Amino acid sequence: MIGDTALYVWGSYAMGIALVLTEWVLLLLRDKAIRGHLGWLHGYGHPAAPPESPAGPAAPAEKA
Amino acid sequence: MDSSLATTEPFRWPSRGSPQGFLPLVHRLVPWLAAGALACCALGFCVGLLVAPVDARHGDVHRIIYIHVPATWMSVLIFMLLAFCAGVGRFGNVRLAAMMAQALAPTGAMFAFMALWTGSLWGKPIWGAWWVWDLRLAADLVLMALYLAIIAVHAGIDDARRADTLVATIALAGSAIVPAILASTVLWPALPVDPALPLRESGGRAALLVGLLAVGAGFWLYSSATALLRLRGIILERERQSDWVATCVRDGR
Repeated sequence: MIGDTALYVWGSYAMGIALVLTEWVLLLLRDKAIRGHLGWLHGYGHPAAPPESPAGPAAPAEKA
Repeated sequence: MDSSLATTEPFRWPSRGSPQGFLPLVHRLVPWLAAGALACCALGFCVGLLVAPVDARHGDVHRIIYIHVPATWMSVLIFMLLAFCAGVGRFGNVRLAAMMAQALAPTGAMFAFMALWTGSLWGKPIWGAWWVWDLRLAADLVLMALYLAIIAVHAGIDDARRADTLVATIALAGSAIVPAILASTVLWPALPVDPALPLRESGGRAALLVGLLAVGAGFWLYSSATALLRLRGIILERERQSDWVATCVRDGR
């Protein structure tokens, strides 16, 4: 294959493979983002959350 | 009072039809489907690009058929499946079916776009034009617009049940386009996919059959993997307040 024919043929295959790979990568990233959000929602693995004390959560402060 | 109610409620095993029971199946199937898709597509592309003989009339441009036709098959098949799932979700009140309809739409849109784009790349050297307004191409364009409409409905409506109802209406009404696409291959003679093409050369017939079926199977396995993976995300998003989702997230499942 030479010239424009090669461009059309290889362009078709390259575009098809690129589309499929892009969708797959976006899907994996979305899956990871959903899991991260759910982890934050349910209190697991949020980077801003303070480490849990071995003695358990602190008791609520007494009212004056 | 709450505890007594909880203890008297009958225990139910999670079934495959429930979102909760479906997740482990997704986790187990996706790697195998993805591997199968890769193997089938690699085989089909090798046949199409390296093994299949040069076509007497279209020359090497004919090799685009090995990606264009399976992409068209998938765009139509996925829409039929989507309409079926949306209908079952709407009239059978099956949540998982409605979620599956939502999960199928982006992959279907991707294949519809691939079919249109590869069709243009095929049409340019054969017809001398990137686009011709014939029945088949217009029907493919409408199909892609339907996919985009379904994606937009789910993106734009926060209430998932309302979005499912609207998607079912669009999908069931839009499924009327499928017979037009299927019939246009025979009725419209100016198409790049000449039905007599595979029959002209007996040597190329086997390669054509193997190549098309391999890529078609690969695309089908890929669509299944992406739909299941997306379905898992949709289930987790919609059921995010459930205790079992919290357990799944905690356990990393």
